[in-house]
Amino acid sequence: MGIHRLRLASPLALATAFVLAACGGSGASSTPPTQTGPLSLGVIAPFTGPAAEFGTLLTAPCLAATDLINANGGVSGHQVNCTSIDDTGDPADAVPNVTKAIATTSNFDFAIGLESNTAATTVPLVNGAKIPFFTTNGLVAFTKNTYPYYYRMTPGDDANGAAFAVWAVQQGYKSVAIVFQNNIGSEGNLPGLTSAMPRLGGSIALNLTIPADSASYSAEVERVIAAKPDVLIWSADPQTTATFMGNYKSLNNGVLPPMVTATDSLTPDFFNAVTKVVGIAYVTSKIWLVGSYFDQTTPAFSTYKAALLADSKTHDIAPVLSTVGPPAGAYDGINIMALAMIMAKTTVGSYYNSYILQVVSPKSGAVVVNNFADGAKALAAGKQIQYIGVLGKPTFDKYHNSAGEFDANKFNSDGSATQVGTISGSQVLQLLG
Amino acid sequence: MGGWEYYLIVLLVYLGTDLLAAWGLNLEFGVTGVANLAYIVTIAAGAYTYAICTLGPPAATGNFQQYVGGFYLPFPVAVLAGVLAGAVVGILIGLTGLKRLRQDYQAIAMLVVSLMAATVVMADTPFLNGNAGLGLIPAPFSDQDPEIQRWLYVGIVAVACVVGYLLLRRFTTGPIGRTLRAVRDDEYAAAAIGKDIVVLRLVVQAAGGALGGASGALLAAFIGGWSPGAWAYVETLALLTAVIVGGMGSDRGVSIGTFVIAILVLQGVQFLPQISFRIGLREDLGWIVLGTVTILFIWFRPQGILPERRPKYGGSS
Amino acid sequence: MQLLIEAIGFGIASGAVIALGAVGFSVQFGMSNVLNITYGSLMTLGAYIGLVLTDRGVNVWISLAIAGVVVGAVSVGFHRWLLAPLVRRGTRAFAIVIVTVSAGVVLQYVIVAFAGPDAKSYGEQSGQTFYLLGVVLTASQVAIIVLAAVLMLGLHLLLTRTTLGRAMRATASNRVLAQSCGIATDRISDIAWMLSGMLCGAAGVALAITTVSFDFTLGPIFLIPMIAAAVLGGIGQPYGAMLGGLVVGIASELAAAYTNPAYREVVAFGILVVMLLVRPNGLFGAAWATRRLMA
Repeated sequence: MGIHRLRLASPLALATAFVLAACGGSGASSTPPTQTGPLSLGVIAPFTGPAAEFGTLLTAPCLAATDLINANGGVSGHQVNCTSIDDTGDPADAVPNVTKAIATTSNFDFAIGLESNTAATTVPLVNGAKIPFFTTNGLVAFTKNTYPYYYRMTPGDDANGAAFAVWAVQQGYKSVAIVFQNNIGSEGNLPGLTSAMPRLGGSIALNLTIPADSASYSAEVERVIAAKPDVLIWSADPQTTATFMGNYKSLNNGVLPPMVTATDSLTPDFFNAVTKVVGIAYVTSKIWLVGSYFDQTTPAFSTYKAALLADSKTHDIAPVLSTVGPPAGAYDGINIMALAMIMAKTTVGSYYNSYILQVVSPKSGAVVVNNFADGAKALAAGKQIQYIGVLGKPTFDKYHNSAGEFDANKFNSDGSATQVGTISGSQVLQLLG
Repeated sequence: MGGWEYYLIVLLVYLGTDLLAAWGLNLEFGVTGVANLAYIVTIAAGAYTYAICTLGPPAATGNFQQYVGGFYLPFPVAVLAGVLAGAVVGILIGLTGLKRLRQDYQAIAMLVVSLMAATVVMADTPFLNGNAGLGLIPAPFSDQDPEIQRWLYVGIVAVACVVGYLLLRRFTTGPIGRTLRAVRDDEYAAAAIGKDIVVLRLVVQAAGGALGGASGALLAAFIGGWSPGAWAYVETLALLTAVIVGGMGSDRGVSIGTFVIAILVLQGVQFLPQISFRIGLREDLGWIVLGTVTILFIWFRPQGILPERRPKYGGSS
Repeated sequence: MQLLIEAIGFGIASGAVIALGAVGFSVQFGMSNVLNITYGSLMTLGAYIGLVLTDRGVNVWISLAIAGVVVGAVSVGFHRWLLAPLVRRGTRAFAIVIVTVSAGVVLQYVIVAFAGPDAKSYGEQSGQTFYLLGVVLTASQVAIIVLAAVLMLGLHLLLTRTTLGRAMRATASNRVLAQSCGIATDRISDIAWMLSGMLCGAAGVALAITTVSFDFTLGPIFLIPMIAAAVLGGIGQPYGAMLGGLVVGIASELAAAYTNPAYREVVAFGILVVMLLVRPNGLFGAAWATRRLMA
């Protein structure tokens, strides 16, 4: 069997990890264990299948964070490597892939990713292996999360949906047509959106779910045209969007409605696919992308963006990616976990997990740091730290979720995005309650 | 529990459920000659039925997924329900195949039936949560220590395999087995000597479907989730390759074929080094290898690794 | 009423593309009695060849022609070196279908390994929109309808008015007899596969234009409606395939307009299953269903 053809950092590291993982659950012993060799940071995301783009998009913040960490001497002397783990978007394949990765990856001490399609099956696996992770899924099921190793800095899908409503009404639109693809990430937005719209004084002219990647959406487009909406609230993958908008343009005399969608669509694939079909004028002027807000003038952001630009693998998508919330959240998460490892004086998940919230909690006399290097230096000098990263100050509730503010963005002609307005997080939460 | 131990458990469970499925397909196709490319629907039926039996009503988890049913039934009952669902679906599919068709027409008709089933499930979200599939499916013994629970589950799958194999042998050996092979090889002759083809065919479809339903139910319980992606039409191809490579009609051959395809090839490619500019290449490679292996076997060794043993009759030959 | 007319219009447009592919499929099936499932992935190949060319600025219709020629050549090779030898050895029909399914999967994943899984497009192709009698069609849809009609007519003339065409029909109907009349059946077979392969490649490009945005699963998705059209019209009958294409296209669009749009494809699936089970000879076909395989 192919098991023997592994690339292991060192057999010793694997054996150590195996032993530690096996007895990690038997209660904390007084001396935290030491690992040797580089650490593996798992990027658990789809690298194949319909959502394959997310794998690449989540690898980028991993590379940015680890470049900075490694340039600064690593975590307590350990270098960190990003390890891609393909969850394929399908639970039946995700389970063996993730289990195999947990088994064979040396010093697998932290992870990011675990997106919506497979989160229900992969989250328990990673949590069961006592590996702290920062996830980017928006599933409402995790709004009351109880897994101790789970952390989320992206808003739930229901909050996102409500944010769409707030923005549409803020722009003066009264009647909306909701068109979502029939996948779990898009449909999660629906409840928040449908309950928020009437409360804000707007109305829903049409609520349509469309299949993915259909050859033609002429019938669906006709229904939207007939509903005469002020704005289209949209969520679908690049291919579906391009075909739909192409059909719309042909069937409506070249006139396309304005669109509000999620910053999940702030990707090169979406931008390229849609631009190629309907032209750049529409894409840069009539599409709003709503998602997590963060201040792009902070030093934390500059460090993050510089790191993305500096790495040759992420250089090209840096302008676009740096403006999107979930990857920024993953980057912050990596820094937080790394700093927690230093605080705990061990790199083993079951030991440093309890320090993660301490890294971000406000304490009197703590040094505010916004990148790994400063944090590591302050800890080495014996000081307490409070990490405030790209997404601003995390405010974790008792379910390890940290929602935040929202903003709306517009595409620039090079595919990057510029923020054009903000949406209050508390207003959104209020609409959900 | 160590990582390797858990991975081993995953492989064992997957092997066990794949064996059940391959035996069912072999029963229908290898032994009886029914070109059932819709077999995967029986697996899906078992999985979904298990899910809606063991889950509670949708409102219990905040309606984040929609589905019919939700009965909080215990594990054994739900698995049996899955088995039954598989058998029923098997019979329904069998009814469409009763008319005597060229085998390749029948194959295409079956393939299209499985595509239709997938499309309907994906389109009708309130039925089985559409494209997103069902998640948070409960597994048995969840109150036990995880390590014990997982090995217990391997045990359950092993027991199911034993039962399934006994059922299979009942059909593929002895007088029933000979009759089935007679029907496969020359239907008119078999009918001429008085064998009731229709009833026999339907019984075989039910048995094959039952095995498929068991496979789906056990797998869904283990993974905790089940979505349309798990029964895309390429998955049927993987099963079919296992049957062809192993040796159609031969129980042992098919078992070997399943191990080779499901474990060695499809899991084996995961151990190839990753190519950084194209992460998904390993999966693509897996399918390319699978397709090529099928073609090579049909070209060079259509009887498979372990061919069906033709019975020898005493006398002049 | 408006909805009905519009749906019929969309149906004619998609029906033309389906007809294009169905005719090629039908010719292949008629000639060698093989259900060539690889046809789907070969259309994908045509679409991607067209993409490579149009991205370099080649006119889309010239790209269509080039893609047709390339896929035609690949089809001939595929038949000659994989399918024909297997048939000659007596491999059963079902095993041949499995071979074509597997070859389709291999080709599909080779394409994605090179081109990547992301959505592709030829870009804004629609051109002007025409409104004729309540029917809405874009310029490229009209062009494809015209192209399909021209190619059907050309094929019909070839089959009925030329020596080559007569030789093809003879080979398709009774190979041994054709050989004994001195027809070089192997060469005729190759030519038939070349022509149908060209239609396949052209259909792939037409599909890519029609669906606006596509990925590597393009061909296989459309194969079923095309087989449905081919079976509906009767295997080996080009006119039947064209009519079948229109029926499948219009029926699908009507279903999409009046029921759940996600059921658009289910209609085509249903037509195929029903035809295969009830009347595999098609509405106009001869008794192809019981013939033996021919290499």
